[in-house]
Amino acid sequence: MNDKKNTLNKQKLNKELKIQLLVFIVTLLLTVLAFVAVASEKFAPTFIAPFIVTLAVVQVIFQLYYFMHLKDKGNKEISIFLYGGLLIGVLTVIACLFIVWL
Amino acid sequence: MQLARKQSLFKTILEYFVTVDHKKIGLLYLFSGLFFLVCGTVLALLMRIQLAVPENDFLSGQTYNEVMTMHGTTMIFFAATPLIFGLMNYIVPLQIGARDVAFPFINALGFWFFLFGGIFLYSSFLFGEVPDAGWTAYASLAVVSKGHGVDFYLLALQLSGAGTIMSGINFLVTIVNMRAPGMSYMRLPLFTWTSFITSALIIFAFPAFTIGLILLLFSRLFGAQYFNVAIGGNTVIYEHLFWIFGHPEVYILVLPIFGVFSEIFSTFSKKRLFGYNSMVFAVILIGFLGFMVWAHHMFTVGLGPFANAIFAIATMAIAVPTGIKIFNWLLTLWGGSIRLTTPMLYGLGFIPSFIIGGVTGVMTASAAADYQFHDSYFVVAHFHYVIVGGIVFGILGGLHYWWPKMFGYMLNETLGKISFAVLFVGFHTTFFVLHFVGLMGMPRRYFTYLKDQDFGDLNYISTIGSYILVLGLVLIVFNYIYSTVIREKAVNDPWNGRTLEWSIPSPPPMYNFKQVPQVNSLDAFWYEKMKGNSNMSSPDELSDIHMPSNSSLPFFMALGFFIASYGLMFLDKGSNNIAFITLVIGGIIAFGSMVLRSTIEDKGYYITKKQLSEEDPK
Repeated sequence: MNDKKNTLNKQKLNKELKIQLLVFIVTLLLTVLAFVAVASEKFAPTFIAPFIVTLAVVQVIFQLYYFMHLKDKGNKEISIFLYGGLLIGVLTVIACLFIVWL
Repeated sequence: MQLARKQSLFKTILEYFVTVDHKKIGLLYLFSGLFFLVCGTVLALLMRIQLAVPENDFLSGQTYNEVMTMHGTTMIFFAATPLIFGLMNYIVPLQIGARDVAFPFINALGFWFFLFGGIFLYSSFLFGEVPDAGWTAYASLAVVSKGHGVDFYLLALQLSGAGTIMSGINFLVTIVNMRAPGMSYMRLPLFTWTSFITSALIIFAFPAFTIGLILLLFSRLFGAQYFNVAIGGNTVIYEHLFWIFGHPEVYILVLPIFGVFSEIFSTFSKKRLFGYNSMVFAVILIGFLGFMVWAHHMFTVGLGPFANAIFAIATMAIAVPTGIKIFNWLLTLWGGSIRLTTPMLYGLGFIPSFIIGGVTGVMTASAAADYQFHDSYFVVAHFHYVIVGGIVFGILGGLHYWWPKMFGYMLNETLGKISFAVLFVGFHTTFFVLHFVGLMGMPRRYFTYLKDQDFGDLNYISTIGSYILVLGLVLIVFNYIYSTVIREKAVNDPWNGRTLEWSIPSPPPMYNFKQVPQVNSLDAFWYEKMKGNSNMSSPDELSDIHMPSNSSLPFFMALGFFIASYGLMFLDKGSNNIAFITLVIGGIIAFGSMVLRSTIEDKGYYITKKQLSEEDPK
């Protein structure tokens, strides 16, 4: 029984390790992509800025969900507060930009 | 372990300096809050005396500004906030069946930061340079205010704000992680729910304020130019930052009070709270909408009709969940077997007073009408109805309700009822007439008015009312002292309560629950009582209890930052040696304590099974 559980855990760990490595490589690639976008000097700044920001958002999601284990069970409260705070922050900025100043 | 041994007075006082027990910290919050409440009341009286008759010269203009600023700052940050934190600290862990908060050390740290912030603010009187830019300290005025007055305000709020954020995080983690088995979110007592939402508002709202204060601090101390319009700065940005914090702050204060009254109404009507689910939903909605309405404090800034219209509508939307709550309370009373105890009287007095405050709130929320109301005494009357009629009534009612649990003896009911009646009459006499003074055109924050402006009569009535109000407060404090002397012993459950805190001895032992209770329903203790059990059952057997050990480090950490603040303030661009040395000494104390905290290993201690069973099992 215990042995079976151990092997199961081991399999799970192996899978987890593979995912972590994969995500790590992907984040490295995304970082390279961001550098290339700027260094190649072939793209207009109006393209580069939103492109890099999009990459950054993807990186943040990877960071939160894979490296900081937000995808695992038992993180419901953390997610609620994360997204609640995000919602309030974004709404405040939007309100300032588009209602108050523009 | 000497759990119930008599101690010398000195040792007891010393214990409060090093305590990490949530109950003792709650009491520290309550009593320092009451102290600052008295300070703020004295300042309010000074203002009312000055305004009693036209062209009075009781206070000079400058002194009046200082008194007014200190009154507002004290009442919001150093009276209302700690009194509510005191109740939350004491009651929330008991209501969720926890033995302490999640981070006892941070809890103590938060308290000492708050207290040193308050002492720092009041030390401005000793230096003779008192903040004089209003409790909002709008940048256009605060940057040019002479002397160190506004610096006292900024650093004091920075200190106490840090403490508040710590406490907010602590309560959130406590309520998420430390609930007793079976205590699901939808079985939380409403006071715990509102404390939960309040804590969330604190951690979302306070950072905006901190940033506003830092910008202002840098402008004043280091000559930064964020608010200098001549070189491209913007003073309105401070108003935005302040109110992005300031409006949620109003809800931070009032939501726990909604919780207190929900408990009181349900207990003294002997009924389950009507519409529990909609109450929870309304609290969450109020919390969320509270962030979307800050610009209604700035209608006259000139944001334009579009912005004003949006924020006016958003503000009126808050009336909907608030209305849900009011109707739920009324329907809780409906058909209940009502006992008119003192806490219940506070509740019944709260509903009409708060509705008046709410209605004038919706009036000021209409942007077009607000151009008339803005900066007049109408606004002063509005927010005093909300704050005194809501928050102060809630705190006093809550104190009367939980007093037997906290101290083990009852407050005198007759005195309680008399003091409530005096307070209620005084409150309405003071503030009701101010509506009309405002509509007649008297601007707020002015230190006097002229003879032919016809404000005299109503202001005189208001001043008489404030004497009655203060008499009520004196009677309440007298009741606290009188009942302490008489010591009419309280049973564990004096009000026939519904929630877990009434299932344990009064006052609770240091570990709260000998065994962590099993919760089977909303109003867990009531459910067990109805089933004929006089005690909560527990899923676990009696075992050793792990307790955090006391520490003096929180006190010294806060003390360090307190001392450093003086140094920072008198630094005056680096030419002042004594100030620099003070800054360094304060820094060493603060960061030294942090190093000690990080290096000393402290695993707490255990109260063993033997000690638990040796105690008298009453």
